[in-house]
Amino acid sequence: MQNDSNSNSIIRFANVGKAYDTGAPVLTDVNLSITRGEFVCLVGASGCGKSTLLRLAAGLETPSSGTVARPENIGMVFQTGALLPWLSVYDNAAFGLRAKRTPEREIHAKVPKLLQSMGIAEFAERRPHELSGGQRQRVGIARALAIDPPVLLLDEPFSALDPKTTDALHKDVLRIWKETGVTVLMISHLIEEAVSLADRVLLMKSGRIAETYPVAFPYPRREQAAAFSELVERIRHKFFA
Amino acid sequence: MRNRSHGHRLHVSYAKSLPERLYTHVVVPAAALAITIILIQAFGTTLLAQAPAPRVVFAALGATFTRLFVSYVFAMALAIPLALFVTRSALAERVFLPLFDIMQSLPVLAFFPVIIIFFVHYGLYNGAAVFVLVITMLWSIVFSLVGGLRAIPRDVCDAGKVFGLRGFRFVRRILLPAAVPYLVTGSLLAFAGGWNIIIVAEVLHTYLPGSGPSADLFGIGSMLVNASAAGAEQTFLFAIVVLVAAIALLNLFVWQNLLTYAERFKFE
Repeated sequence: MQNDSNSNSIIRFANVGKAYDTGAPVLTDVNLSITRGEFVCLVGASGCGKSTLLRLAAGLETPSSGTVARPENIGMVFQTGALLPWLSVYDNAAFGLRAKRTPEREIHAKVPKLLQSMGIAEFAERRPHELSGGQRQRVGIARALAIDPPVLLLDEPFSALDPKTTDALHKDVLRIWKETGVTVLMISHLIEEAVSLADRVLLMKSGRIAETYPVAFPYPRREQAAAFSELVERIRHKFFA
Repeated sequence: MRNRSHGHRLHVSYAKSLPERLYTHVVVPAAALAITIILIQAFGTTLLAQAPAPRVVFAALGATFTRLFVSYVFAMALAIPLALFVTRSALAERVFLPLFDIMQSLPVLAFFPVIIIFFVHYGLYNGAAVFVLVITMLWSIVFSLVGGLRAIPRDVCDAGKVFGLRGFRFVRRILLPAAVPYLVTGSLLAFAGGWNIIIVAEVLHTYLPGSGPSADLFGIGSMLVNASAAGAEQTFLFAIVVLVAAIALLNLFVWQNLLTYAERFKFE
């Protein structure tokens, strides 16, 4: 699925380096081209630079060297949810639209449908602290999708959830990806998760993309399948090497 | 379907623990009532016979409260930009926070004579008191707010930035709401300090050579000090009962409600 031609790439890192005033560079010479509609997963040990890469893609950081080409309109889902506790579920989901000065009429037409599709319509008037972790993450996803972003960035969104909830959210993310054609760039700390979702897994090591693994298995992927676990093992081997 | 367009409802009741509710709604009012009854029992008859008309005392209280409130508004108007500025960058924090610390620890009243001479020179009698009150109130709000702004999770700020919020809109939609609990506690401390200082800040004549109580600002603070100096016990007691009752009522009906309201702005 890797596509190095300029024409169809929606995110493009060219010789990107990132260093802060103090200490060693966080990213070194990263080259990455993500094709429109692709689902890419970043895996790697803590401190390998995957968060910085995602933040660069989000426009939250600027590269120290090289260039990052990215669309202006980006949806991002955070590990902690990052919902605003003073707003209802509805208002949280509408937050990005209001930030972008969308007319209320449009918001009314859009947000209820979105909450419906994320299975949280009945909680519209509740506030984040009244929700479970999974429900909060659904609000976070709804908020990110509300602005119709061409790219969805996910920063370990499922790492604090129980396996059952994680499984349900995996299905939802795949469904959204297929329905909307959104490009997904996701950080995961689980190799199995990355292989079961992405069509390309990038292994990062000390600020570089160490390895790229295309995943061609059809969905839904079965973690028990021999080819699946073989690929997971290959990545794991390299991860710990 | 939703039937309201903007999501801001003010009435939210939070479940407080029973001991907490007992304390704020039973113990505190009961104690205030008991003190009042004891004072009236002890001094009641002479108090009511010789005290100034309640109208005057309440007017003095009103004048003092207005002075406090105006000072508070000025203090807020200064504190919010100061706190936002200091927390903007690590550099600003390193340079200005120690400076604020020094300014906070300066004893305001030590400078009061100079301040009064300056303001009175321009005929701004109320200005002197308001100035001292603003200085007193400012730093509790600033430091509380700085703590609050620092405590905002990075993800939450990032969520705003990814949606393109910058500058004033970022402040209004993320920073200020997130700081509400700290604004409330800062304001509470500011008023506590204000009530404390007002006792002195209204009594301008002690700093103005050759003048008498007529140079003072009309208020409950100057009423207390002058009654005490003149040996007018009844006036003093009446005024202090009114002052204590007013502060207790403010706590019960304003601050407790604001603290409860602020809960909804807290991150987990």
